[in-house]
Amino acid sequence: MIYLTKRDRQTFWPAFLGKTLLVVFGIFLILFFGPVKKLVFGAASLGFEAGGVIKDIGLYLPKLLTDKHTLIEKNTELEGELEKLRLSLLDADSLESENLILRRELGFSRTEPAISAFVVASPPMIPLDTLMIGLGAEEVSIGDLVVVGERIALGSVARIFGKKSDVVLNTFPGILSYGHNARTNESVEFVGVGGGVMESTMPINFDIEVGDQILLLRDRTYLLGVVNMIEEDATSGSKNILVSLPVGVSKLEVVSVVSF
Amino acid sequence: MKNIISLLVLFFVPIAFGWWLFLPLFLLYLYLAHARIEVLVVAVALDRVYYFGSGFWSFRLSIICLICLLIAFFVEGRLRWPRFF
Repeated sequence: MIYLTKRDRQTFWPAFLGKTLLVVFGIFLILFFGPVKKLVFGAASLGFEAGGVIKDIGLYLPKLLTDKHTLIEKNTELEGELEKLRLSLLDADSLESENLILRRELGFSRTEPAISAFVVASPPMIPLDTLMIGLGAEEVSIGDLVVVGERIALGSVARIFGKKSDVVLNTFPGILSYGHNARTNESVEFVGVGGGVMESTMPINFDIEVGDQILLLRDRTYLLGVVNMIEEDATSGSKNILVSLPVGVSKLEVVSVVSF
Repeated sequence: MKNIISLLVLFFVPIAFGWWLFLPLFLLYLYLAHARIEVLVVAVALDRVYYFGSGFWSFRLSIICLICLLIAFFVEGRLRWPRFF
């Protein structure tokens, strides 16, 4: 039989109000009281590190469960690939040194060094289009550019807490990015829409194609993204351009931070 | 004690495995423990740990939590809803 319970007003409301006041006080402490904030972030850091360890174990488990012979075959294949990569790395090194000499002669060389940072957490552990890196206020400042490798611009540092920082990717909703098309050299402006995508609305006759690289000019030229979809709307005479990041963020382990 | 453990689980499990886990875990907590307002402290703490942007929507977990708590508060007296702890 269904029965309804009624609250005893004389005992319920005083207890409820007391609890509510305690909760409001707790929220106030978390938001404005430094030591409690530090405690929360410290506990969170512990959680993130535990999450990292669990992720590593999860990635290692399939290897334990695979057959030994398959692993040996894969190992031989990988050795061959490693040799190829070593050769291409030598090529890249020689090109880089040549590039460095040319840059120095032209006066383009970077004055501020880039700092490497480990990625503490990446999506889906944290919200999409953000990254958490292991550099604190002593090494980075808000607005510093975060790059992958030498020339892929990911986003910028948005918040620093303790020895960690939050990075907002260029695809974070509402983030504006300015760049130019590598093929036509025309300037373009993109706004992040989330989910690893930036978009821009342009006139229908604007020269841009799928696969075009969008570059960002700072102390050197960085790759901002690659055009991966164009939706034309003939009635309004405009086209919607979707640009995605050139790298998958969830598998990144090391990034560089460039200060200006 | 059960309440404290479940609040700790609500804080640490989403951090270790993914922020989105807070939502199903919170709904489970709501089902088991009814409208307990102390879960808001965990939601605010998680909102501060994660970067959701700036402004009003940076408190999105707290807002979702508060709406669900309000709904649960008004319906718990009108439903046959067993309390587990």
